[in-house]
Amino acid sequence: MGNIIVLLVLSIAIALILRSLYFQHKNHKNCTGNCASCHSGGCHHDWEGILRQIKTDPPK
Amino acid sequence: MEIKIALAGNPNSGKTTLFNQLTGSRQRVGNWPGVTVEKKEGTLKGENQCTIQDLPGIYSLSPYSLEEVVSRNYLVNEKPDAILNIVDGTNIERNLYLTTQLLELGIPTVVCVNMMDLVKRNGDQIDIDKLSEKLDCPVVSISALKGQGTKEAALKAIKTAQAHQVPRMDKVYAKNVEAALEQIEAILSSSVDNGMLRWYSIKVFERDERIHEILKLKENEKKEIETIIQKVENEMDDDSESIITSQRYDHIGQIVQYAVKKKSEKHALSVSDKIDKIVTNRILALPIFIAIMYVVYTIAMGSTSISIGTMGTDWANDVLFGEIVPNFFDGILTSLHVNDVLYGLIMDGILGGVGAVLGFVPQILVLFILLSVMEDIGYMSRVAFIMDRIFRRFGLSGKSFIPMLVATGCGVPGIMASRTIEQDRDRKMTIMTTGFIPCGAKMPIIGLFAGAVFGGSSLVATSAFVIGIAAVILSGIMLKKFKAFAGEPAPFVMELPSYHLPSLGNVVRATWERGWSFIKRAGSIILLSSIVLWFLQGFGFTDGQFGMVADNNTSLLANIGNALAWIFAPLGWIGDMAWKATVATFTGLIAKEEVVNTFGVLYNFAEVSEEGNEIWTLIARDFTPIAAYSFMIFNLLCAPCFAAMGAIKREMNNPKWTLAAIGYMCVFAYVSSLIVYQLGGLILGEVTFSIWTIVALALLAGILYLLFRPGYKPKTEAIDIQKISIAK
Repeated sequence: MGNIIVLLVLSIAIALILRSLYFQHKNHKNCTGNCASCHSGGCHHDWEGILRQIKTDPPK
Repeated sequence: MEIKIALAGNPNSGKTTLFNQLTGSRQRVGNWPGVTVEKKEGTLKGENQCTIQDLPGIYSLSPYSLEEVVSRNYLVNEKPDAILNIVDGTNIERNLYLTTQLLELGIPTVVCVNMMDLVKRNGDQIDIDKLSEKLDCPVVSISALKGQGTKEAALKAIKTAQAHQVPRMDKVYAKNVEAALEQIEAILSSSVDNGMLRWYSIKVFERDERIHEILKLKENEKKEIETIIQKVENEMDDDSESIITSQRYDHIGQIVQYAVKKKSEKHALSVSDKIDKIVTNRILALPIFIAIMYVVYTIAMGSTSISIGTMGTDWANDVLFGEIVPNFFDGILTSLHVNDVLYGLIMDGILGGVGAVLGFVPQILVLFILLSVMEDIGYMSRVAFIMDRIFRRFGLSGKSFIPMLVATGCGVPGIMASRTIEQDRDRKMTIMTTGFIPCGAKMPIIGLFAGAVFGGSSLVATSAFVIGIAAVILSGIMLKKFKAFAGEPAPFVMELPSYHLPSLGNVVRATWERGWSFIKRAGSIILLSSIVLWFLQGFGFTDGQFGMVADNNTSLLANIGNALAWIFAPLGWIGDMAWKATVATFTGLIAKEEVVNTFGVLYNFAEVSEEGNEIWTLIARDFTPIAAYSFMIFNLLCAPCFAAMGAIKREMNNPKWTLAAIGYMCVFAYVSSLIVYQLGGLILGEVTFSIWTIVALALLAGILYLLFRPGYKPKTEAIDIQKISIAK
C-alpha cells in the first residue's frame, strides 16, 4: 500500500512538472520570468529591418 | 476612452523605474543604458483605460541607434495620446535636447523632471513653473525611485491627452530657418498630418533619408525643398542638420539660464566625480574592480568569518538537506514500508540530486544581492566604461560588456542583450563570447569545487570570473584578426549615472528574479533528470542479467560515460571520476546546475557520513586540484545550456554561425583546460611529461601566434605605409 501511495504522489508530481514545462514551452508569447525558458517570443520587432534603418553617418 | 501614454527619455533617466511604479509591473531595471530594448506595455494602476508604453532610452529622434529607431517609429507611426517625457534633473541641459524634439511631434506632452532629490542635494534649483512657461507644456517634478509625484504626473498626462493640449514652442530657430521651415511645411501640408507637420518639415530640412522614403515626394517638390535648404546653408555656411542641432542647443541654453540655478561652480567636482577620479582611474580602475569582485566572492563563496553565503550553504548542506529533509522523508518512507528501490529513488536520486543543487541557493542569493547593489549604486556602469577602454584595445566595444553584465545572472538575456550592438560583426562576436561569463547556474560548480578541493578559497570564484573576462578578451584579439570580424569597434557613448544609495525594491527584485529562476529549475528539470540519472546509475548488466547494481561503476551510466571519457582524458579526467565527470559535463548541457545535480546523484549526496559533507570528501578523493580546476574551466567555458544555445540560434539567425559559435566555445574550452592541466600539472608536479605536454605546448604556441599575428585590415581602414613613404 505504501509503495502505491508513494508512486502515486511521485507520478502526480512528475505529471505536474511535465505539464508546467510543456506550457512554458508552448506559451512563449509572454515573459515567464524564467530566462532559461525564453524563446524571445515577447519580441515583436523586425530587428534586421531596424538595423537597416540606422543612419551610419553621424552629423558633422 | 482608451488613452495611450508613452514614456520617453534619455537612457538611464528612470523610465523603467517609473513604468514599474505606474503599472505595478516588475520589469527589469538596470542602472546602465540599453536595459529596455523592447518597448513594454502595462496598464496604469487604478486606471484600466490607460496604457503605459515604456520605450527604449534615446538621446534624439534621429535614427543613429537601434533604440532611437524603435522609439521614433513608435512615436511617429502609432501616435500615442500623450508623452511622459522623463528628464534627468541632474543632467537637464542634455536631456532637454530630446524634449525639444518631442515637443515638435504635435503630441500632448508632460515633462517629468526626475531625480529632483539629487538636484536639491547638489544645491541646484530648477524652477518648474519657468520651465513649463518656456516649454509650453506641463512640467512636474518626480522621484521615480521613491515613487514621489509619479501618479500625479500620469494623471496630468491623462488630462493633457483628454484636452489634446499640444505644445507650441516658438523662437527656437533663427528667422531665416523658421521661414524655410514654413515654406517646407507648405509643400508637405497635403501629404502629412497637420499635427506632425512641424516635425516632418524639420526632418526634411535635416535631409533625413528615412523621412524622404516615407513621404515619397515628387521630383519637383524635392527640387523645391533642396533649393530652400541650400539657400539657408549658404547663408549660414553650415549643413542643415548642424544648423538645427546648434540652434536647438542655443535655445536650450536660454531655457536653462532662465529656469535653472546651479549652486556649484561650473567646473566644480561633484561627489560622484571625485569617486570616479579614483574608481575609473586609468591605472587603478582594473585592480579596484578585481579587488571588489574578490570581496564580493569572499562574502558570497569564501571561507572567512564574513562569508555569509558559505555559512548559509554549509547550513543548507549539513542541516537542511543533510538532516532535516532526509530525516523527514526517511520517517515517512519507513512508516509506509516502502521497498528499497523506491526508497533509493527518493532518498539518493531525488533528494541527493535536487538537494545538492538547492544547497547552493544561499551562496547564489548573497552573490546576486551584492551584484545588484553594485549595479544599483552605479558602479557597474563604471565597469562598462572601464571595460570599454580595455575591450577597445582588443577590438570590442564597451557595448559588448553590457550583455556580459546581464549574463552574470543568466546567459539567455545576456545573449539577447547583444541586439543593442549595431555592427553585425561586433554583435556576432559578442554572442560568441557572452557565454564565457559565469552565470548563476555555473556558480554551484565553482562552489562545489572551491569547497571540496580548494578549502573554500574565494580566489577560485574570483579566478573563474577573471578567466571568463580573459576568455572574452583573448577571443576578441584572435577573432578580430579574421576577415569576418575585422574592423574598428563601434563607438560607445554612455552616461555615467550619479552614485546613489541602492533601492531596496530594485535589489530585492533583481535578486529574487535570478534566485527564483534557479529554484524553479531545481524543482522541475533538475528533479526530472535526477530520476533518470538515478535509474541509469543504479541499474546495469551483471553476468548478462539486467538489474540493480551494487557499485555504480558497473552501471548503464558508467558504460555510457566510459565510452566517451577518452575524449577528456588529456584534460586529466582519469580514473574512477572520468565517467562521472564526462556524464556531468554532458548533463550540464540541459542546464548548468545539472553538473552538481549529477555529482549529487552519483556520490549519493543524501547519505551523509558522520563527518558530514560526504560528497565533498568523495570529490576531493577523486579529483586532484589541477584536474578539478581543469574540469571547472572546461565547464565554465564550453557550450552553454540548451536554452542559451537556442538564444544563440535565434540571435545569429544562421545555422552556420550558430554552429561556429558553439563549436568555437567548445574548442576554446577544451584547449584552455588541456593547457591548464598539462602545463599547470607539470609545474605542480602532478603530471609527468608526455605526448600531451607537447600537444599543450603546440596549442599554446598556436594561441600566441593567433594573438600576435598581423590580422586582416579592411581596405578603408588600412594605412598603406609604403605609399606614405613614397609620397614623402
